[in-house]
Amino acid sequence: MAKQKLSRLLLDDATVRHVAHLARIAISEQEASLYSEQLSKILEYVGLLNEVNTDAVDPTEHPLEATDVMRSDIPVAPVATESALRNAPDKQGECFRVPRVLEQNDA
Amino acid sequence: MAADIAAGRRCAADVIRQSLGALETIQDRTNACITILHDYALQRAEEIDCRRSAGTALGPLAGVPVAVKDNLCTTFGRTTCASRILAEFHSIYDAHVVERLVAADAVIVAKTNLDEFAMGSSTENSAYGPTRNPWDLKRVAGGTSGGSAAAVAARAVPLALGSDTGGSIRLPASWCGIVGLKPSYGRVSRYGLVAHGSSLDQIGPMAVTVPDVALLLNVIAGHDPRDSTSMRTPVPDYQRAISKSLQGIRIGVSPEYFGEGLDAEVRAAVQTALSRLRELGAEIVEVELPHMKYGIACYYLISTAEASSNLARFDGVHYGHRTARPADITELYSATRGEALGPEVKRRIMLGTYALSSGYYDAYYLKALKVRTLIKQDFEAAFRQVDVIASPVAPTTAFPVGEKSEDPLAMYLADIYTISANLAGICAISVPCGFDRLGLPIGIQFMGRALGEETLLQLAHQYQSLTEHHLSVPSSIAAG
Repeated sequence: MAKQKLSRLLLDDATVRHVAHLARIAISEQEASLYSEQLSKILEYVGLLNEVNTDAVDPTEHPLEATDVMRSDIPVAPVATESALRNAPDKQGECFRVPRVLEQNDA
Repeated sequence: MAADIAAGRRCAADVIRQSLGALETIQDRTNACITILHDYALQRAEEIDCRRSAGTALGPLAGVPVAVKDNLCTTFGRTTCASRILAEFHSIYDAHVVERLVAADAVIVAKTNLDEFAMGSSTENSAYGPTRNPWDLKRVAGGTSGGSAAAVAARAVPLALGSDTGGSIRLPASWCGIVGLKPSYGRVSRYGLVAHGSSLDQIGPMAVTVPDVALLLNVIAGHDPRDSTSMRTPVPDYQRAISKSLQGIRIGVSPEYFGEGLDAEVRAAVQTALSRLRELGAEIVEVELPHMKYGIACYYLISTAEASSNLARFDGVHYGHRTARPADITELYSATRGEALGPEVKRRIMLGTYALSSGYYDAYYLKALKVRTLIKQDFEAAFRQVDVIASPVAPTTAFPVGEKSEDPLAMYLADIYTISANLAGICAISVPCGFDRLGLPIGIQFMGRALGEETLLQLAHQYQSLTEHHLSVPSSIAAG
């Protein structure tokens, strides 16, 4: 299938880098450029939906007539701490360890 | 097989050893499995043999080997989702369907390969290599449940579980010449299925024959309080449903599924199948599904939006890969995900993030949700006229490994016939209906109304009983 170079990319490199940051995914310059081309092509394709008149149509978020499911407020056995920590990349005592989230002088 | 084991004509340990051996034999050629569970499976088999000797009652699948897609959580072995981010992840709980299999005394022998996080159409997006089609090892098995399909097609296991978000059970089933069913949304609990698109995902049975698919569906279907989208509707006896005659059944056919882009041999095989069904007493009726053409566009906004949310949990904090020496918490997240997620997964997360972002939400995500309503309504209208809708499963047969890897959009278009069933939440099945001139399997898809599995299985079984496609075995396997 011949590669189509869009004259104006729907998602330029800068936007791709911004979206990658929102999604917390580190990408290289090469990736930004590649994804910009690939994602622009996909976005161009999904523009097909603009052919459809949806003025009087409600959105379907979910195939079932789903409502929130409740249960009685009775405590059940929690996940054991040891179990919860089993796959921890880094732990200390009963906690998962991560780099400092707050700055020193926020405390 | 289950009957033989229960009656003591075969011992479970032998059956399981044979299955494990078969999986090992096909592994180099097909790469169907991520983990083969030797120790676990033999231990379970021995346990079942002991219980049988002691006269204890056994479950309906006692000693039967089953393969399970590696996006289903198991407390035994790893659960990798074919990703490097979960390469050494050991789940602390079993998926609901895994519990059901164990309660039925089935023996899970392997975790099978898939496209990473169930994103793809060919099982080429796995961090552990592609799964090759037993019918032609230079071609893909289809995806994302390619490993499960290959293991069944190669006759290493009689039963397998897959998952289907846009066609991921039906497409590999069709390309590997076996039967695969996507149940109605909510029919099978998703507890323990690593989520891709929460409003689209369903776990389903895969096997060579329809009665085996019906049996496995009965084992896994039903309400589970741990999945709030799981339906309370009672589960019928699917095996009883399949023997009813097809006289008077109305099968809908829509021109949308037979247009441009459909391979001539696939078209011919499906049309031959429809003629056979007419001979059996079915009435073929033309129906309209005018919004079917928007299915792919709709799906790639909704599923990616949901995936961008569902995959946010893979951040290096609680489990899985974590980047070494992150400077701060943000780098911990970004570098972890950057290093360990595959390109297709990254593409979809970014697409979803963009579609949900401020300024674009209405134009993309909300628009897609509205078109989804129209697709759902098209099916509802059609099902007032017919009982089942028939179509090809895919526009072509299995393509060569690597052929579509450079073009994500071309890959997405493989799902064109399967995707609408997920958007509407209805049930759908793929059944072998022939081979092309290269000997590659072709499947026919039947779609039923929500909770219409009985009619679907009845039709599939009656059709399969007329044909011998499922009796063929891939030559790469038959040759040993």
